[in-house]
Amino acid sequence: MSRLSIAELQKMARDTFGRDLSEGEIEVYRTRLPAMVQAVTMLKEWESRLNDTVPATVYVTPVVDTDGRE
Amino acid sequence: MVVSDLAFATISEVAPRIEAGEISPVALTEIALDRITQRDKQLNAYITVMADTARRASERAAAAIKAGRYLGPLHGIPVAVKDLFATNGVRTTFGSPLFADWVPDYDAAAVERLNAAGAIVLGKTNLHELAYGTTSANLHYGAVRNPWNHECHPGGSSGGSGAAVADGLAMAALGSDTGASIRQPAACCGIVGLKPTFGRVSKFGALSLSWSMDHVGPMTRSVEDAALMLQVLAGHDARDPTCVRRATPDYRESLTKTIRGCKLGVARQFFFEDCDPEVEAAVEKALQVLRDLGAIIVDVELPDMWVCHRMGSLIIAVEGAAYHANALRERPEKFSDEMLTSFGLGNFYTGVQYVQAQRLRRHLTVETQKRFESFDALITPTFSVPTTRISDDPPGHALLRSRNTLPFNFTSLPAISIPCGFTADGLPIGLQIAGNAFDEAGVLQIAYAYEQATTWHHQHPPQ
Repeated sequence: MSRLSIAELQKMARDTFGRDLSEGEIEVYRTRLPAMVQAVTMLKEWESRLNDTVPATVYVTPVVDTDGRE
Repeated sequence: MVVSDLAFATISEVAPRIEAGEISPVALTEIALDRITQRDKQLNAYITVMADTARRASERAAAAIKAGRYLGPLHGIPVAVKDLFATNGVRTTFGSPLFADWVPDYDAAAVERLNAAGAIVLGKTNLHELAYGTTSANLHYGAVRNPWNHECHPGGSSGGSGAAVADGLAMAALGSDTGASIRQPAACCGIVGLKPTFGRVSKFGALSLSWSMDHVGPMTRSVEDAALMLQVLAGHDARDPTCVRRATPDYRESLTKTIRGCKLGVARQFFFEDCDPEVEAAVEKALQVLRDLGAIIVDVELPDMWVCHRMGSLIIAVEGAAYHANALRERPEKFSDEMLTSFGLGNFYTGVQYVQAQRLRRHLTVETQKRFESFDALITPTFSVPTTRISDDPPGHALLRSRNTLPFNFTSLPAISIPCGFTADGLPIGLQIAGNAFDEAGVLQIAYAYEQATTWHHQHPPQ
């Protein structure tokens, strides 16, 4: 992949994440930003297909015993 | 068996001789401790060596066995524990200055189970800082070095566990895997690493990188040893709400079943993209070995693996940022720049995006499981690029190191890495075998058949 310019990456961060990043921040995040933008784009593409899909389980009701321990 | 043989013996070779009283756990532990003394100055595999407690435990094991109270194949076996598992009375650093002085007053569930099985814990192994990375080049506790080439990294995040097992500094080790962290270092170090199905092994007491993506599993010198370790580690634990209540099969029993007629899927798209030619050639040879064993190799399509990878990365970033939110705010100086960047990016995503990623995860997990119904297991390279020099981080490698493994954290499916060759430079290459949910037995069976037909697992790092 060709190396994206700082201006291109700044636009990416602004358009996708609403963040105005300095040139220094862009250099720090340079290698990761394109993949993160791709992730958000994928989410948008998939949203209409998720319909009644519930999230993967990330919460289970804790059961507390008589001593107050989970 | 001479001392050097014992240092590289497997659990399954040694256990019957321990039971028979031919080998003492005390001697075995001393051999491992001697090797740590001799070799860990170079490798830096351990953060904390528990020599005194290991010696005492080995004496107790020897006495119990002598008295006829043999507990099973792990009794008297010296093992290492990744330093993100809480150990009662022993500091647990997570590879970070944040936890440099933390001494838990409890054991992680996996450690409890090893102790109950009579294993001897030698110490706590080094790791990538906070388990978020694939090189184990830890700024705070020093970089772990690959036993096959000390200039190279051992993979990560369980790099210390991988290096210790490969170089005879422990007979087996505990690892954790959020995107690659058992399988990739296992592949880099030329050993076996098994990430079980999410929920198979309790995560209680294992410090979290990402609650919904973390897995606990064994790192060993042979597939049979991985089966023996999993046998002990698997099982319900109410303290981990994600741990399932499900019967644990006899993993060792199913190992020797034939794989003749097994249908093995190969998804060339995604898993073989941008693959190093030496890695690809080794995996092609492995496929031929499996064919020769009677397996049927079929090309399959898993079109959504990039989505799995990207969503998995998103979830890890967000959950990791959440786990460390307070420390990131209050004590940022305790994080390396790499961690500040990595966790900082987790804050870029919105809550809605995180939930959508978890919805997509459920959808793609179900879809992937449906595809797995048409074959018995999927064969891939564990990584597409072999380990590199510690001083280098070639462009794109950070992504490629975890690319082939992370989709199975996202979909929760079991996957093992086993040695399948070496590069011309003498660096190990790994073969990944992934199965359907809770089919660790099937994954181990195929891995064992391949292992028994090859000699890679008999090779050890230069001494």
